[in-house]
Parts: sequence; C-alpha cells; structure tokens
Amino acid sequence: MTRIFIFILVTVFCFSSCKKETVHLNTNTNEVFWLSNAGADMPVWVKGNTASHIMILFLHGGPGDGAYQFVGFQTNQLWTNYSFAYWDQRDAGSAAGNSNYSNLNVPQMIEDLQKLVTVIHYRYGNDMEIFLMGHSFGGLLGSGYLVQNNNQSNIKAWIEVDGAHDYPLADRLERRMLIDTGRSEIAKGHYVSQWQNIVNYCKSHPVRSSVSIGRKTDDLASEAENYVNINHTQTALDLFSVSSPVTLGANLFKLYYTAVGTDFLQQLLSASYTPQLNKITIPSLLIWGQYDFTVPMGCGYDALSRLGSSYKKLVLMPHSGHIPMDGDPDLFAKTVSDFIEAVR
Amino acid sequence: MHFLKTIFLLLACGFGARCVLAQSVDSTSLPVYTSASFLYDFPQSFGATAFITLPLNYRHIFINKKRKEKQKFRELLTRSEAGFYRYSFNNTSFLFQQSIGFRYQHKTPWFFEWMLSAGLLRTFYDGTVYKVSDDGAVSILKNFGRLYAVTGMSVAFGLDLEKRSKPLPFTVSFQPSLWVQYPYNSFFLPHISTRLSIDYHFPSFNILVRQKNIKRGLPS
Repeated sequence: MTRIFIFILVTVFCFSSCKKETVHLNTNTNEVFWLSNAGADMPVWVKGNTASHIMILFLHGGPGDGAYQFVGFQTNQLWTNYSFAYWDQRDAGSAAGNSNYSNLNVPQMIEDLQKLVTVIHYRYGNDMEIFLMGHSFGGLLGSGYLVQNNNQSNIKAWIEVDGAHDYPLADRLERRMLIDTGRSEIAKGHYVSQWQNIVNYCKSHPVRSSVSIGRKTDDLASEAENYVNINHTQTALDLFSVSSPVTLGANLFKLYYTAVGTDFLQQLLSASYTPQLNKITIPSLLIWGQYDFTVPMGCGYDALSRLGSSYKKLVLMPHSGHIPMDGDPDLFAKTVSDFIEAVR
Repeated sequence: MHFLKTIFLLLACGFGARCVLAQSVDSTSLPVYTSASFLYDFPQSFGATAFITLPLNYRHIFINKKRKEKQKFRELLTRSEAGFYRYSFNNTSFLFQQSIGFRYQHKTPWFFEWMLSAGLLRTFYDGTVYKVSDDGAVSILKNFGRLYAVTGMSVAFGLDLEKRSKPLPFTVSFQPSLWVQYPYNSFFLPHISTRLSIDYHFPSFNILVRQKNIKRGLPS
C-alpha cells in the first residue's frame, strides 16, 4: 500500500513538473502573470481580447499608484477589440517582494519594462503587437524605455496620456496654469477663497525645490479639478473593488515618508527625456485632459513638436483633468481605437 | 508636609485593602478548544483558519464592592493557528502563528479576549511567475512566492455556550485584528482582518491548570 502511494506521488510530481504551460488566446481573457526581477515581484493583470493579437501595455502613474485601479471602469470599453496588460511597477500598487532600496529608480524600472515586453512575447507569441500606453509618471517611464537601445522594435506604437516625460517642464506649466486659471476664476467670482489659496501657495513657492513642495502643489492641482467643469465617472468604491487601498497606502507611505522614497522622488524633480524625444519614431498618440493642472497640455504640445514619429497626433479631452479615462471615457476609448486601427 | 504624608499612607493602605484580601491556589480542569474560523482580510481577501486554544492558568476573582459580591474570571491562553486566504488576481497566502493573551469573563456567557501573535506567512502568487535573465532567456519559477514574518494584536468578543443554563460545547466569537507582514517591499504591509470563529470543546479534551482564587474589595 505504501509503495503504491509513493508511486502515485512520484508520478503526479513528474507530470506536474514536466507539464508545459499552455496559454490560450481568447476574446475574454482575465488572467494574471508575474514578472520577478531584481528583488521585485510585479503582477500583470491581462484583460480583454488577446485573440486580437493587440495588447495595450499600461504604465501607471504616481509613481506608486498601481495599474489595477484602471481595470474595469476606465479602460474596459477597449477590451472587446483589444487586450490590456495592467502592470503594477516595482514598489507600487500590489507589487510585492523585497527589493533592496537601491533598486527604486527609473533605470531599474526601464529594465523591468524591457523584461516585461520579453515575457509578453514569450507568453502570447511574437506576433502580439504591443501598444505602450503611459499615463502621468508612466509617460516618463515609457519615453525612457523607447529612447533606449532598439526597444522601439518591440513596440508597435506609443500612446502618452497626460504623461510627465519632462518633470521640470510639467512643474513650470502646472504652477503657471494654476495661477492663470485661478486669477481668471477669481475674476468670474467662482470659488474665490479656494482659488485664492491655490494662487497664493503657487506664488509663494515659485520652484519645486523639495519633494514636500511638489506634493503640496500636486495636491492643489488635483483640488483645482474640483473647481472647473470636468467629469468624474470614477468613485472610491470602483477603485477599491479592484485594487487594495492597503497595499497602495503602504507603498505610497514608503514613497513619501521614508528616505528611500523621498530620494527617488527627489531624483524625479529633474527627470526629463525631452532632449531625446526625437529618437522616438514609432507612431505616437498624445492624449491630454484640457483641464489637467498636474501635467498641463503644454507638455503634450511640447512632445508633439519634438517626437521623431512621422505619424503623431495630439487629442485634447474637453471634460477631463489628469485622468482622461475618467473624464471622457467614451472619447478616450474612441481616440485610442481609431489610432490603433490606423496604425496596426 | 506631614499632613500630605499621612494622606498618602492612608490612601496606600486603603488601596491595598481594596486590591487583595486573600489568595488561594488550586488546580482546575479547563477545556481545550479546537476551532475553525472564517477570515476576511480587508478589502478583498477571504480565507479560513483552524486553531487550537490551550489555557495556561486561571484566576477566579471575587470582588466585594459596596457589600455586593461580583465574580470574574481571567484565563491566560495560548493559541496555535494555521490558515490561508485568497487575494484575487494576486496571491494565496498560508499563515502560521502562535498567540498568547487573556480571556476575561464574568458570570454571564459573554467574554472578551485580547491576544498578541507572531508567526510566518507564505504567499503563492496567482498565475505563472517569469524571470528573465540578462541575455533575455525566460524561465518559469514554480510555486513562487515570498516568506514573511507576521506579528499583530487581536481582540475577540464571544459567547461561551458552555456557560448557558443549557450548556453546549461551543463558543462563538468575533475577532478583529491588526497585524503587519514584514519585509514587504523593504517596508511592512499592515492588515486589518476579522475572524468569525466557532470553537468546539471535545468532552474528554481538557487540561489541568493552576487556578488562583483571589478576593478583592473593601472588608465588610
């Protein structure tokens, strides 16, 4: 009896260890895989139509925010025809592991992205066309990836959504837009005391000289979205139904209140890929919220003039702030869909 | 100054009189509970745990307050627990922990408990885990996850059905807890969990522990 039991155990073990992983492409994919690299374990949630052989690889913002919150309510209109890969970057969202402190930097994240693209092609086949979509900080990360080596050969097209490819420029324009809009709204008598506070802070802190000033200015930029005519389709419940506020909170706390986090954020104050944007030659779509105070649309116009792509386009979202998927979900989906169909 | 010293001494004496009038040490047979619980870890994880709770010592306290006698019981408990929970589209975690703490009870079947715990947590990620070498070779990491240390504190509010007029060998309890896993991204991850537990007392599953009987209160 004992021998039979051991035989069954060994056989089951051999079969399970020799089994080759089979990935089926289908029209309604809903699965997770992970990339483990340099101490970090990063989940990638794949949703939508992988059988289309088109995958939009989403680079979230923050840094630290996580991609899972974009699952289900901001980008789901595109799942019918295409698939999305929502990647939580290292030390962000629900990514886990125990990376050492020195690994939290942009070059390491670019390496993570290079390896993730390799894994996507390994898992779903080399004919899977990857559209890289970078939102906010993801715009910096995506630009950094595309200007390096021959990374563009692995990517079909670049979609930058309110992307911060140039932090100093975004900072200058953020302050300028907050002051100009504030003055104009005060003159109209709209939210006078609130705008006055915003204008006063921006005028008394003309330079983003520290992480805390930057964070406060970004908070004011988010607050300012409440005082202009933009849409919000996302609720806190939507957010927490797909991503954990606890892991998100732990990662954001680490970013803002520990030495390693603030070192990383300090590095970002001067981060810019503007001088190298001409190296990007793949088709590029720039989507910007008209009322984005955090990364104003001037950054989009700047990128449009500098990108080396022969096919490039900037589309403004009229009812959006920093998150156009939230403010103009229908127009956002149509713009992305039209672009993919035009360049595929 | 002399007056203050006198007041202080009188207070000290009075306090002493209130605290302990008499003590006796005895031994008593107490139930060992085997338990199962439903676990919810905020906001998206659900799981189950099984544990065994051993009493270590027992205090029966008689309180004489305003010539009315009250009784309360305090048990020192230790608990060994194993369980798991699922965090959808992320991981399945296995939890092993040891706890120690006190259970307080009056004559009624209701009890309150607090415990400190420490243990280990092992995660297994959902889906395939890939690793890419510097030359671009992709490999799959089997049964991959991470091992964490966990520590935390819990409180429990429960009902001891053995102390009803018609006794049943069960207790039920609701146990919120706050615990952390470490190291998580070179930092720590807090958890807010609740357990809904049912404890069963096998009739022959008892343990002999030291019982201390304490009388407190003002002498009548």
